[in-house]
Amino acid sequence: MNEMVIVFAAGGWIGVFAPMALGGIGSIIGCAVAGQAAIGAILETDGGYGRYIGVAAMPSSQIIYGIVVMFTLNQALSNTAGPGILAIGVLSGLALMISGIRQGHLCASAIQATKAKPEIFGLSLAPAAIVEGFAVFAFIFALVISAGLPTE
Amino acid sequence: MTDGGATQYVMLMASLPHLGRPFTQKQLPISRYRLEQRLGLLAEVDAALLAQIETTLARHRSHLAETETAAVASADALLAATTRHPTLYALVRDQLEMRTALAALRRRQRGDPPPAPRSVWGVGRWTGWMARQWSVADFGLTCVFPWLPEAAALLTAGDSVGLERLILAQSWNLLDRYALGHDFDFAAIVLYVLRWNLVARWLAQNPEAALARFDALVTQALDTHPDSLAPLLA
Repeated sequence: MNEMVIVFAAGGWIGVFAPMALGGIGSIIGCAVAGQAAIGAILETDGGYGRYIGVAAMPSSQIIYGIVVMFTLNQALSNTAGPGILAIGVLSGLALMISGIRQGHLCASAIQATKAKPEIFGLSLAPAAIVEGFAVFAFIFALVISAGLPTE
Repeated sequence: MTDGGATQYVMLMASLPHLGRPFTQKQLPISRYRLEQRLGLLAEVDAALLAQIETTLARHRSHLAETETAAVASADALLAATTRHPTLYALVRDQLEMRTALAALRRRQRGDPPPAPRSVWGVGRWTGWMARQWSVADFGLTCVFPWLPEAAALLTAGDSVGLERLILAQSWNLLDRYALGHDFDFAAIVLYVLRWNLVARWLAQNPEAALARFDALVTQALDTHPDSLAPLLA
């Protein structure tokens, strides 16, 4: 029985940190990819550098969502809450990570397209905004579901 | 079998200007010198493969190879070198097959007999088929090369400019077809450089652009070294 408690507790701790760690990985990769595109575009164009860098920072929101979910899960819970914390933490973290990486690719494409046609800057960001919406879904419902975890 | 990382060359691709729509450009958006500078960001092995692709395709286009055997050998070497990149392999194969079909049209136009069985005269999957269908107007390959009948007609009419334009358009379409899903990887870089070559070839044939370029060079020369051209203008 003690072993089960230890396993549940370990799983719980993994679940607590997973949204932050996985969301962070997504933001790191996403911002790095979009940032490379921004640097390349700066080499090629004569202006509008600020907006390229701004777009490259878009995937940084995933780590913020991850931090909020981490603090929400990191509360005094019963030992039986471990599997629930593990599931919520890892799954929401995966959603944040993948959305961060893919959003970085979309931001890089938006920068590339804007370079050729500056007038489509806003429209080219729509796909990245849609991906951001999915990340927000994962974030919000992780918070909603975590409210139902057993506390005793 | 991989085409490399999908985001391997994000910065390099983003640093290259948009090439625009085919055959509408008035000038090259980036000079060869600047392009070479940017391509300095390529990994050594990728730079070598890109150079091999450019050299081999240019050699086949301009018939610079010493013999047909040498040309086919260089094409086979290129195909072997691109096996790690499925998209590039298919692209190079299609380009070489297109040129083989064009070479067959020219040979037939010249009155040559069909190539002997197992002789080395072209590259790709259709050499044997074309030799067997030598007397058929389109070699029975219109379903594979829809441009063949038009190319044959232009060749017969002696319209070399029209034929060159048709080939450039078909090459551009081929590059477009393989560009899907390749935004920032090595294949994207190769596609960009091959497109750049097409634009350069097109502009080289544009008399208006050539005249404008000549005028610009003369003006520049007169501005920077006014004495150097004085004897000619006297």
